[in-house]
Amino acid sequence: MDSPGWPASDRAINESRTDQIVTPRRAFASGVAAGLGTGLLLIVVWLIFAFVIVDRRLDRQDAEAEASRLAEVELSAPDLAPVEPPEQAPYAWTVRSLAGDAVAMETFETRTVLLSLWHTECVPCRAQLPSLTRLAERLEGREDIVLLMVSPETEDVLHARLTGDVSDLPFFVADQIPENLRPNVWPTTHVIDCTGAVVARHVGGADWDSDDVVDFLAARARETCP
Amino acid sequence: MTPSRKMFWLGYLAGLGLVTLAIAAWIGWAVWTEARSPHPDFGVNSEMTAALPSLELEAFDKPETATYDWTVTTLDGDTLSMSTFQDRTILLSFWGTWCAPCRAEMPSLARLAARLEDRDEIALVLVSNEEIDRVRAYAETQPSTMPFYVTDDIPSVLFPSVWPTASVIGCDGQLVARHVGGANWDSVDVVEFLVDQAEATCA
Repeated sequence: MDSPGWPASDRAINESRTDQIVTPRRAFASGVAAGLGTGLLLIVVWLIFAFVIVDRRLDRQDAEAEASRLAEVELSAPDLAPVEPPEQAPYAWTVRSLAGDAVAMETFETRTVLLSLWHTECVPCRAQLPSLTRLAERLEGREDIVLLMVSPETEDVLHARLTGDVSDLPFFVADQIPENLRPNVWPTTHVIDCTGAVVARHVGGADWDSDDVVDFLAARARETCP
Repeated sequence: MTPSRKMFWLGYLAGLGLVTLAIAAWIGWAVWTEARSPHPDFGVNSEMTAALPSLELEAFDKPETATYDWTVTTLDGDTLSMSTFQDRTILLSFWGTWCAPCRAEMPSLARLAARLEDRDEIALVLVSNEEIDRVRAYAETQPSTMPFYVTDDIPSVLFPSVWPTASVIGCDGQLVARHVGGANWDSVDVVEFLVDQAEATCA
């Protein structure tokens, strides 16, 4: 049916441009697209805000809180007195490196071992890490002395929590610590000489970066190691 | 408003709604998987519990002055000033769910708590500096309700140099004894020590 008063040529034009006519259905579709776009844009803005601004601020607050916690810990000189009565340390146990490789403790049988039993959750344990890092640097190149940082946690937890300067320490995890080395307090550090004797034991955090510690370890190694 | 314009805004709302639904679904999924994630393993090595030394608390020759100027949070989320305990003798234990000797001594602390149940003048306060959710999860594994608190506000004078550390604070605010390491707390001696302190210092 012809619309009255519309020339045939105009009708033809109108029909050829139906794609440009805004039907309600098209309006709805473009509305959905615009709504999705707005929503996604808001999400992007929120993500940027959350991760770049808030996350960074929270990280900084965490770092400050951690620093003030660690500042509460008094690090004394370690107790290097002989263990009475004398104790033998077993070598029949294994630790795992953070790469997941099993390492038998027998590997260290010919070396004097400073065995630090620690836990990432324990504040004094974390407080002494910087001094242990400096001790490790002092002991670098010495074949007769080895520092082992053993935690009862999993590799994943250590990977997640070890950051910054301390991540170079020789960290290991152990599922089972033999009974007479197992700590009754965290942290506990044992010195085991090449005869397998526990020659010193320190409980609590300590300042390990001292000549006394290096001399003590060197003397034990000189007297007992092959 | 023309029908087309109306449909556009309807569509706009629908689009926003879809995005909102997607976010809600994602959050819901995250919460659901979080709730289903297994509890951390709080296993106790029974041989460790058996090996715990029996405890002899000895009073310091020179008591130190403790402080009540710090707060702890109950597992319900309420903040509690330590001055709440000011008129009681406090056995204050710093522990952690991660610490095996701390978990090993928990049954003996529960039995000690039972022994002290009727004694209002003695308070047992078990403080961890962990996330509250972890302590809540641990508390659920315990057969009895224990006086667990969390704080990130441990004052210097009480700050433990090793975990676990237990301190006895008299009603006069003096730190009279301290024990480091896991121990068997369930003993007449411990109760007597606490009662003596309470009698000597509490009103």
